[in-house]
Amino acid sequence: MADTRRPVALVTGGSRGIGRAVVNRLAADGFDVAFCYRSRSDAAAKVVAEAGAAGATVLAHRADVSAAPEARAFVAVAEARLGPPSTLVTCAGVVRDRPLVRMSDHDWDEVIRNNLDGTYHVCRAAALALMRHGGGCIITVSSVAAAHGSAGQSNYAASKAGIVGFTTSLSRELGRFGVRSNVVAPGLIGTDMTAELPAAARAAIIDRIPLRRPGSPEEVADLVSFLASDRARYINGQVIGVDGGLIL
Amino acid sequence: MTRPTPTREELRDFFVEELELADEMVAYDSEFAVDLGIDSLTTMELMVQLEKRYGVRLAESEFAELTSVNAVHEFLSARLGAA
Repeated sequence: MADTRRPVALVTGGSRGIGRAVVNRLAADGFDVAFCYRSRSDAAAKVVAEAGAAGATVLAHRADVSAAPEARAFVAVAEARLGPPSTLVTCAGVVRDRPLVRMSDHDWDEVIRNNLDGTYHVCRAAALALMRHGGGCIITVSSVAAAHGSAGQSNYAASKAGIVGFTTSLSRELGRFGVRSNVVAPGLIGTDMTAELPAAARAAIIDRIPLRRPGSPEEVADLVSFLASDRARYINGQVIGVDGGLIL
Repeated sequence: MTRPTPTREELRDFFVEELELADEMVAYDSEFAVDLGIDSLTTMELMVQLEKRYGVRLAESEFAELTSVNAVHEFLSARLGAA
């Protein structure tokens, strides 16, 4: 009898921004999706309704992925409820923008713990399941700031550069199990996170984007959708920009 | 479809074949890492294959403990019943 179960995707930071668009897109692509969110239960409930409308089973789980036990619990609950995952997309991230001389140790730690440690914790928790599945992929969300740096975002850029080194290492470790690992590196994307940018700074960035506009979360989700699909079956260990050609 | 508990000989043959080693190189008590020079990822890959083949599930800590044909045989015999 043919296996009619839908593939299962895990998404971190799924209640808002890029994560929300990814949950919606993967649900439309035929995945059942478990996503975690840190604080916004109201936003998470909306995403469950939106993505569920596509016929997917969608599970929202509250978890702070910077804490390893919470990341493990998210993966365990998702697997128990939906079945073994074939795809993991790590979108959870924060910013605490400050020039270095005004940055507190707390600002630094918060960003590294959420963005880099959080990515590690969830990948660590899900890796064995993905290896056993024997196929599928990990997609991490980095940033243009990883390769080029960004004034006022040394903590964020460092965390995102760490994600690149981490993910490309996974591509070498997990490739033999049929698991592909790739990085998506967005530029300026219209989300709650970038809405905090001062208008002048935002305009200055847009001036450096040949396409002359910010990207949308859905445009990032389109790339994630491709990377998660069989069409990307020979793409592994890559960092792929989705930034309108942004010149830093 | 899973298989019945393997004998030590069958397990040794599995490792010889998968690792493409000369038959005489692999003793029942050869340590995969120390004696055969097998890296931890390759060992892990083989353990995942054995999980599927025999329908067992290793705990994370058990991956590190199965370091020889003897150890794997003891583990599978305990889980599946002696061969």
